[in-house]
Order: sequence, then C-alpha cells, then structure tokens
Amino acid sequence: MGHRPSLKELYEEHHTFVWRVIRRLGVPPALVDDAVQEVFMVLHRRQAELDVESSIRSLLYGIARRVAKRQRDQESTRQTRIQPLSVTPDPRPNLEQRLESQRKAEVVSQALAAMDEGKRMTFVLADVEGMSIPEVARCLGINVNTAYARLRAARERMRQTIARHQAREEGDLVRTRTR
Amino acid sequence: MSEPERDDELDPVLQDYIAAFVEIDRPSDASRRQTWTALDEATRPAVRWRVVGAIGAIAAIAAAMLLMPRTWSVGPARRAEPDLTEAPYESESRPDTGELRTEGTRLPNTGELRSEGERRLGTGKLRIDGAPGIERVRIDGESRPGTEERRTDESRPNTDELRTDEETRLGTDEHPTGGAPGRALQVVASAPAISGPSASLGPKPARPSIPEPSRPDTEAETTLPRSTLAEQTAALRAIQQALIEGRPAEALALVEDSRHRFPMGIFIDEITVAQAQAFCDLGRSVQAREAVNALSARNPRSPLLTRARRICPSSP
Repeated sequence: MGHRPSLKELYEEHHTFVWRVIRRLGVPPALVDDAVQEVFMVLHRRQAELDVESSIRSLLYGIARRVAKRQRDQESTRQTRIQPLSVTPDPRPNLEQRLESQRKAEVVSQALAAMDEGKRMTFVLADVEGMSIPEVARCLGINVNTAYARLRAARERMRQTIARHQAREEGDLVRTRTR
Repeated sequence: MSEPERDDELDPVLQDYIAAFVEIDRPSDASRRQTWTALDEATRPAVRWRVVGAIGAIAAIAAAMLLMPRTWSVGPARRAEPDLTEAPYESESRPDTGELRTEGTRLPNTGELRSEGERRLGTGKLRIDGAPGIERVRIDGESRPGTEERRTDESRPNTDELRTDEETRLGTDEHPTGGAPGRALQVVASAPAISGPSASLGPKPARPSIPEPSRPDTEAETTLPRSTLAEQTAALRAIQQALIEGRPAEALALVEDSRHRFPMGIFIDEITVAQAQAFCDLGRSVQAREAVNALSARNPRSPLLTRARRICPSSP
C-alpha cells in the first residue's frame, strides 16, 4: 500500500465535499461546521481501517449521512430544511457576474430542496461533486441502474426549475422594457 | 457502463447552473480554518489517550510479570481453591512448603511469622499470623457497615463481598473508560489470575476484582484509590461549584488541573461535561461541542451524553 494520507491531507482534500454534503443532508446552518468536524473526527478514528485504495468519499459520505441524521434528530424540534446558500465572500470584482451566479445557484439550491433525499443526493454526488455513477451507487447503497434512474429524474426536475426561472426572468425583463 | 450517456444528458444550461452553484455554495476559508483548528485540537488528545493506553498495557504486563513468581510459589497449595485472590490469607496448612510468601518476601516457616503489614479492608485491618503449617489470617478492626470481620479460613467464593463502596464503583461498568485507580486495580487484581497456573479457576474473569492481591501489605494500593477518589470527588465538586456560581473560566482551569492530576480519573466523563458547559458559558460553543464529541467518541454509551448534547444546542 502506498502513502496513507494524514488527517490534514484528507481534510484539505475533502473538506468542501463534506461541507456541501452535510448541508444538502439538511443539517441546520448553525451546526454545519460542527457536523463537518464530527465527520472528520470519525474518519480519524477509523483511519486505521481506511483502505486508501477504496473511495474515501464513499466512506466520508457514509459518515456524513449518519452525523447529519443525528444532528437532524437532535434538532427535530426546530424545522430543519435544506440549506439556503451560504454567503461566501467572492474575490471577483465583477458584481453583476457575481449576482448572476448567485441567482443561478439559488435556483439549483431551491430545486435540490424540493427533491427527495434519494434524488437530491444522487444529483449532488454525481453532478455537483463529479462522482462516477458506480461510486454514487456505492455511497448511497443502491444499484447502478437505480442511481442512473434517480439522476435522470433529478436532472429533469432541475431543468424544469431552471426553465421556470428563466421564463420568470424573461417575463420580468419584458415587463421592465414595456413600462 | 453508460458514462457517455451521462455526459450527454448534462446539457450546457444545466452545467452552467451547476457551476454557479459550486462556485457560490462553498465553505469560506475562515470556516475551513476554524474547523481544522478545532479538529486538530480534538484529535490530539486522542493520540495522548492511545499513548496512555499503551503505557497502561505495558504497566499491566510488567505488573503481571512481577506478580507471576509469587503466584506460582503459592500456586501448588492453591490449585484446588476456588478463589485465587485470597490465597495469601488462607489458613490452610501447606504441607508442601509450609511457607507463605507475602510482599514478595520469602518468609521462613518459623512459627514467628507475622506480617506487620496491616491491610485495610474497608475499615478493618488484616493481620497475618503464621505458624508452622498453619497460617491464620485474622481481620481485626472496628466493625462498620459494609465491613465485617472475616476469617479467611472461611470459604469465600465471592471476593466481591469485600468490596467497599468506592472500590465497587471503580470496577463497575458505569465508568467503562476507567480511571487510573480503576485500571491500576485491575492490573493488580487480574495479573495473578491471568498468570497463575490455575488461572482457569478464577471466579470472575470478566469483572475486575478489587485488590485482594497476593500480598498482604497492600496499604498503598488500597489507600491510593481511596485518597484519589476523595481528591477526584473534591476536584469535580469544585468544578461544578465554579460553574454553578458563574465562574466558567475558573471551572475550565480546574478542569485542566483535574486532568493533569488525574489523567485517567474515574470522573473523566463528568469532567468533560463540565468542560463543555464551561465552554458554552464562555460562548465557545465550538469547543463545547468538541468536548461533547470527545465524550461521545470515548464513551458512546455514556448516560451523560444526552445531557451533554443539550448544553449548547444553538452553537454557531
């Protein structure tokens, strides 16, 4: 076996993945960072059994799902919804471009929130995180065909939401011009 | 399989939106750094625990090796006896050697054998009288609740009867992570049973027994847990008092002090909960949660976890 990555290396490489997955799994915003930390703590404890040849992201996803579930259960008294977008300071100077990206991201976020968890996480893992379908299937504990079916359905929902958003924007634009 | 199909399905518009989403929905650098700092801190003690555990294991082996010759020396006379831990106090005649080993010292069978070591059992004292072929063990001492006078020539199948309250607590499952005294006790008590030639006769291998060791003069071993128990209790009370009186910073200092003094203390879980509370009171919710996580990692079945998780419910 080759080099076994340190926790720091694993953290640097997969922090964003875990953070995003945790958010899409419905952990309240205030608890996301803590949940991410917990995921890596569990990973740290399980490092000895970590086979670096297997998919670390699958392992992380499995841990994240359990951590998120626990966090959700603990927060069951408050309404836990899928995360709104985070407001990350953007270094780009182009404000208009930034706003455009923000609007598009908001559309994706809303579409994801409207999906059931199976489709949502299939879409997130496959199209947002770029995992292969077999890897997604392994993460979710489903077979490859189911993963494809969910992905197709999720994309279709996403397209419809985007189309509605674009139609609204065009309508707004037309109304603005006709005034 | 059909990866190309997947790529085909991802049209440019969708790609554009997803790219925007990936760009916007990401953790800030500050968040990343802060989480790593907390994670790094949280995982470092775990390393120390492993080191302590390894040292403990080495100490256990060393203790077992030290005790082995002693156990073997009395082994032949005790082979048929039900309770190994009582061996040195037995009053049976030992026709084979007529000798009794106490405190690792070979005591000649002169009839004048008397161990000066008075062993505290509960509140009683244990004196060993030796006579040729007949050694008698007597427990002298004021009779107090839970501490009966016992003659060890009586059959005593269950050594637990001699446990004091504190000692029993040390061995219970309530503190599975164990404290230093508890572990020390296990080492002392279990080593002869493991290493002895008739180890299979050990009555309760699963449950750590108190020091009913193979040497009478165990004053240090029996008093140490008592004294540290009192100290640990006092330390925990001081921490809790500081919290009650709204002095979380002081409580934290006391937590550190307590951990330094009793790195494997029996109230380690309680102290961790107190630490989480102190952090929370100080507005350091990430560290509070980290403390709770540490407790969860160390003792996932701790009954304190439910309460601990409510300490900082809305930590940022």
